[in-house]
Amino acid sequence: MTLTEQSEFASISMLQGFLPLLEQLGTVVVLDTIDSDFKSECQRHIDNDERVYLFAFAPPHCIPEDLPCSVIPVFPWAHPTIVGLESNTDSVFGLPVSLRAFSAAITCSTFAMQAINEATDSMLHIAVIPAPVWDEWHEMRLKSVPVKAVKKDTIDLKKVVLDSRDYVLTGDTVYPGKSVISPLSGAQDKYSGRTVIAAHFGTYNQDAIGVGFYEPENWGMWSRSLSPWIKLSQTAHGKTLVKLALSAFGPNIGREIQVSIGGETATVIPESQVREFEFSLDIRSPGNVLSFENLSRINRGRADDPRTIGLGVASLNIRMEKADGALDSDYFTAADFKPLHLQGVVYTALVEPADRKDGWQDIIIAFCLALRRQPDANLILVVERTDLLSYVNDLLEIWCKLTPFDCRIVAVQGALNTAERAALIEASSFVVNNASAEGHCRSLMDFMSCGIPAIAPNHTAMHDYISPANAFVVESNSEPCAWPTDLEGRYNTLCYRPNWESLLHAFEKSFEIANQSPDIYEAMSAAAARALQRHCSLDTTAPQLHNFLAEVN
Amino acid sequence: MVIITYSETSAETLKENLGEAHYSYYFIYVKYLPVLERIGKVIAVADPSSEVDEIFHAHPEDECIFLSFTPPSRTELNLECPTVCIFAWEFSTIPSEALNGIEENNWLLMLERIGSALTLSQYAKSVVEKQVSSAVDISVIPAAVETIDPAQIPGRLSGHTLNIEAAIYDSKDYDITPENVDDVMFSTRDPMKMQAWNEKPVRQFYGEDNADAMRFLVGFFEPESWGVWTKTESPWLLLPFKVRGHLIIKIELVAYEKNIGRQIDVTLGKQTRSIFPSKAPETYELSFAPEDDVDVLVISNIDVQRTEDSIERRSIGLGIQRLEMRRPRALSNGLSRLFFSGLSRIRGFFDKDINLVGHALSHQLSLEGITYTSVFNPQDGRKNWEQMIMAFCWMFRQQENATLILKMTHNNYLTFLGRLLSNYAKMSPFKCRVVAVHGFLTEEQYQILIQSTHFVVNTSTAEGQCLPLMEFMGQGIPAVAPNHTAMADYINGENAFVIDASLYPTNWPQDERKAISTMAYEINWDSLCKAFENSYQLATHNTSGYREMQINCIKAIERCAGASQVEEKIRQFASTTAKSAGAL
Repeated sequence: MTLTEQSEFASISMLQGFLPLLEQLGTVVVLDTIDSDFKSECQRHIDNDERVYLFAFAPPHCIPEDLPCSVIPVFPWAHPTIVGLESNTDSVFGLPVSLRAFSAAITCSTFAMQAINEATDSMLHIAVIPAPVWDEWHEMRLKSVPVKAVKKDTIDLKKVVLDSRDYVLTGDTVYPGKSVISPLSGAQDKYSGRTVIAAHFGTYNQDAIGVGFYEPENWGMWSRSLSPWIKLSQTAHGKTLVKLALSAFGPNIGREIQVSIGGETATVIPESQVREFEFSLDIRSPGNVLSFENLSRINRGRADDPRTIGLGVASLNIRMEKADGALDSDYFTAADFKPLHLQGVVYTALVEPADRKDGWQDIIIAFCLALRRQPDANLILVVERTDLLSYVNDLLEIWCKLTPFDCRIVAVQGALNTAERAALIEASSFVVNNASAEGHCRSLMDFMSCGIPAIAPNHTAMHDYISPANAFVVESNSEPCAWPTDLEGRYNTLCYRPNWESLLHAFEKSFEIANQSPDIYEAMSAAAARALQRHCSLDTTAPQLHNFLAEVN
Repeated sequence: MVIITYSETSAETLKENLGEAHYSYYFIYVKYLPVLERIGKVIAVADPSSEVDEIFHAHPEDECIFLSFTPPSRTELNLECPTVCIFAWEFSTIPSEALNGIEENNWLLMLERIGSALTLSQYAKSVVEKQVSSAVDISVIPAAVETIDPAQIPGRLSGHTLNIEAAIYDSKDYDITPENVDDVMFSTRDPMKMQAWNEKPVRQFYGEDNADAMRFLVGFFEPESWGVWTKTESPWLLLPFKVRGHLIIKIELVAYEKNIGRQIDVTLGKQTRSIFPSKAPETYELSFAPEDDVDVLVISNIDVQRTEDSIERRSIGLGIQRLEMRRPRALSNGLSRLFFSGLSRIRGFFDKDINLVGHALSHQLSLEGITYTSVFNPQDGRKNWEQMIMAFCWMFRQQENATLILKMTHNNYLTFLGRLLSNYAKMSPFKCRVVAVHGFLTEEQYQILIQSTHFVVNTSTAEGQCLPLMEFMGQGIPAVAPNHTAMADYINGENAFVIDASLYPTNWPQDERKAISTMAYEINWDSLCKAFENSYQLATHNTSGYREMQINCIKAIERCAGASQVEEKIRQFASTTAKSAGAL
């Protein structure tokens, strides 16, 4: 997911959040593009003595300037400084330069307003008007307040779920706990009745996903762990012909490697060059996991290539004698997206591994080290946009480095619709954020509006609503970083890295309070809803917008 | 008293092992040695299993003790001579499992078997005591550190220029713009100090899974999964080893926009080859024959301009995936053997006697302004030196008078060059000065460096003792350092600008699995910046305050690790632990 995609997504989300607020003021028209049609339409209204405003939900440098109506950029900002006017003119993303074209702007946080004022010498008329998210959760508040800290819920998200309880975690590697596991791809189709599964590993492949492998190279992929495996998009059953193109590295050359599907094993002896191996298996209990065993440990520490490569897999071709029509429906549901039965204290974090400022790995480590022995502690990581394949190996590797642990860690992959989001909120005890910069944190706003207390830092945008009354505040320290729009990557501004030890203590304390002090939890829950009402309800924001527009005119 | 000692690294093997995992034990040994020699007869052994008990029985009337300067996993067990393991440790827990499948890696087990250990800090002792039984005797005796008379602290020198036989990477010499990091003084890279090639084919992959890839890249963006994009018009690929003579370089790359079909030059030493890359990944085989040792492949004539309709904003030119380096197979076996042995003899000559070469490499290090110095091994992840540079440049961006000297101790400069230059580029522009020095200084030169230094800096995540920090403080130089782990024994607000730090999870360095089983510390950036700011203020505006700090430094080091202190402690320890063969 590129930076442009990320900011586009944020803009769209903000626009949608703003609509109810704008609708209170007048007729709202949502546009995809600004073209000459728009200009003439605009001019027509103006000639009719009507006031026309263009609320542009985009970074200022993307907004055209020569328009007849008042243009108001609406954008978030998460850093204390904005690229200076005197710096490289190459940096077209110089906000102050582009902001000069406007006389007013709306942003989402006090922090952003201060940064913009400083950069533009307070020459712009700026208002802090967050999208009125609070009102969207009215029904939810009616239903579930007061919120209970300890949960016993089942949610069915129809999304890919990676559950630490489904896997056998050893120090070196992670095995699937059963021969058929939940899909790892976004493929919504159920079992399709094909007789052939074929894949070439020069690129990522939804039909066959490698776990414990490095990124595909054009010839195939190298193994990374000692027990790599491939998750197939459907189960293999009965008489099966397997063709695998394999190579090996170092001590694995000439070694007996065991290949298994559904409990049946064959032995291959790979060489240094890719070679095709062919064997038959009679698979009695269906499986959709192809695993490799008996790889040799690789010595790391070579200057030129410190990877722990062992086995190279170029392609596979699995051909079943007959289509698996005879399977029980049991096997079908096993391969479905699984419902989540949650019990105990549930921590939910919406993260994007592609965003380096998200701190998602530290969340997992702090949760695990704080609550290692608690089978009733659950961490749900929701990843809406980052491609699963780009982080699944990292996730499983962290589990291996943390094992053994009794608590539960679940990753849910896919964009949530409103109903799913609501179900998740209802099943959560706490919402977690560990980012080092936020321009506009939708997940915190949604969850807290429903009375879910947070574990979060109180820097940047979060400063406007996070407090010890409604959250376990995570301390943070400055850290130099580059502006998101600076592709040279020069460290010219700051972000605010959350302090890991503080995050650890937040998990410890929150767990204790959830279990032992329900009255404190309830107070925090009520405080969270109140704070968000103050920050982003229609009641608060409507007059703010009204006054702002009055001043702009 | 007979004191038998063992250290895996010796003076002969030091140069090779410099910077490797066990080398720090040797430095501890070297510090203990003069003190040990005042207490008894010191006999160093090379093979404990055969020599120690032999010596023990050869001196039946004398009390004997065997001091093994090794981690518990490599200490000889089951000797009759009382054995003591002397080790440094800086993490919050000691390994208590058979790491990597090796039982000896379970330090808990080993310490119970050895029975007696010395460590260098109170922190290490408290960590060990939490885990071992009371049967294990563990004491703290830090390596002795020299201190000077607090009444005779020399004033800070300024304006000295040292001619050092070392490579110097001075931020002032680099033409740092975001577009390129040019090496204005080409001669600052010292081919003599690079690591020799063992002639085996070398493959280098530049994808982000190869965490070391960045070390070899100058003028590139951050690696991606498939490889890395060039950033500048003339980026460098550092070869992992220095080379001369016939060799083949195979490089796999793609070209972007205007570079497709463009003549791209690849230079090694004095020779240039041209390629015309295409849009799809292709491998180019280039043959070179440098006469002198070289280790940098310079790629030039890249066009960083974007086409008009380009969707790309970065200055990418070529995407490099992998590199292979090998000797040509064309040479017949007999000839190549002669060739290679001839080469290695010549190389050996240069390695041993640099002075004989005539043009002894000498570079000038000028010391002026308020000087901050840090001495460390850049390969050691705990040192956290990149954060040090970033905070320094951040705080002193407008201050010409501030200099940071990084004395790097590792025999392979490749471990830091790529990262160092990338940091210079990321933090630019800055008016302060950062100088990395790589090589050996003479005693006299080291003294001048010390006397020119106003503050010694440490930003580590964990320390077992940190001899360089203590040495500078012993010479009256206040510190900018955290007070966690071993440093708690001597760093405080009266002698240092203390940097706040908090716990951070990590793995035991010897654990191949890299399981998260222990804690180190992460440095609080705001606190680090404040420490730089306050120290600079003190040095420039408060001479008496600075003086007071200098005196406090020396006193603290004296208390903690002064030679007479250490001697007394060792005597006491030995008297209770050493035994004579005759008495048994």
